[in-house]
Amino acid sequence: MLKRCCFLGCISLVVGAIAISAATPATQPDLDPDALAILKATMGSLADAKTFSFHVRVARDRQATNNQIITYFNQDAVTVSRPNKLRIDIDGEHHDVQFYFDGTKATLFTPETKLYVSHAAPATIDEMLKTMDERGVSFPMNNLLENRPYDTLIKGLQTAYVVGRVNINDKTFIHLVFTEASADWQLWVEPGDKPLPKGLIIVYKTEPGSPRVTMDFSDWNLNAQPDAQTFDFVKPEDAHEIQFFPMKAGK
Amino acid sequence: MKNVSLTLFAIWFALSPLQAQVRGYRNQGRVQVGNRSANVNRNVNQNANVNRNVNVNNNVNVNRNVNVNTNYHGGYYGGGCCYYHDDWNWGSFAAGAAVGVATTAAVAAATSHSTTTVVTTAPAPPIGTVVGALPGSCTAISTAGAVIYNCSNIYYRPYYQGTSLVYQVVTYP
Repeated sequence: MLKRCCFLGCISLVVGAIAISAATPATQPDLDPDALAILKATMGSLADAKTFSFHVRVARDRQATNNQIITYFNQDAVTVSRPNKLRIDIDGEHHDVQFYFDGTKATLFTPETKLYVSHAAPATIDEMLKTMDERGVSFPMNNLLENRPYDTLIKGLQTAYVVGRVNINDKTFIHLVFTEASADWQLWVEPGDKPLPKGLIIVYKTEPGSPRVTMDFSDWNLNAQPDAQTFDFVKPEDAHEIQFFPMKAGK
Repeated sequence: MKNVSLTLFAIWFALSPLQAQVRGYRNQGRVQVGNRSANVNRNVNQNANVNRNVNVNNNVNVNRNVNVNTNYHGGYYGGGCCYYHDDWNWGSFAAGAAVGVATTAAVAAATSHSTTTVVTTAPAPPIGTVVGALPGSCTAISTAGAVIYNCSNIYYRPYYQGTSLVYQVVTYP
């Protein structure tokens, strides 16, 4: 945990130092082929893995009514089995939540209160993520869970550059930076035969206060062997099913 | 995959310190990007200046006075990176504002995880108020197909909003 925190801290320091969030939109996309090649290889590591797992520590900004940015932390344990199974255990600041997708339905369950909501879902992770997104349920690492993450990540890119090699916590990473209309994002890649994401920072530059989401990835296992029950929500006897809060029109 | 590995290997060497060209941008506070194979400013990290004079104001009572603005909902899906939704938070600030009923009572209730002081002195929240956490001790009541919480004779119905639980004040079922 200490290392993860330290990595987040280091990233913040670097980001603060280079102040890259206010990138000027390019009139014509300027995409460094090296940046795209590294991104493609990294996403290829995930796309090629049929069943994989990882942990991600997330720091997420939200803007308060006094315009102050407030940051929330959570730690997620993610297991993906392509093309149609997903499990996310969210260790949140205030309560823990489990998310199950078994190929037919998506379920959120809070062990503390034993309340769950279950929703019929399309048969692939990609389609399920879209459906849940429309219900207001999305995860910051959604892009990485898709079956073809590279294809969606490069849509709408305005710039893609390689900052270079950087050393963080005695390890070397490749630092990539990207811009698109609504967000600037940075990816730190751990190189190797199977290059993997180590850090991802997204700045939502068109949102009030330009909130930021910082993700620190660890414990990648590209050949995970989860239990058969990992993706199946088994309702505890004393659990209660509830509903999603009605969404406002236009949301 | 082999080709990809070779490509990465080549890029890796292209980015080696020997070939990296340090540019004189450090005093301008910006990193030069966009120059192919020559865009590494190695002085950025070493010159990052941590402001050691920042002092946290311990007297700010965030829980009672600050409410997260959830009017924006800028998430999008399909093209490009980056989901943004403000409703999978693990905190409790958002719920009151999310439906535009962030009364003082709602905010106090929503943020009083560890104390009931505010709740017991605040007026009863109006029907329809949504909070992110139940105040104090509550009793679960199972009704037909639903569960309701009785918290000192104020009744709350739980919902999921994003991945978070929220509770709406309702009339007695």
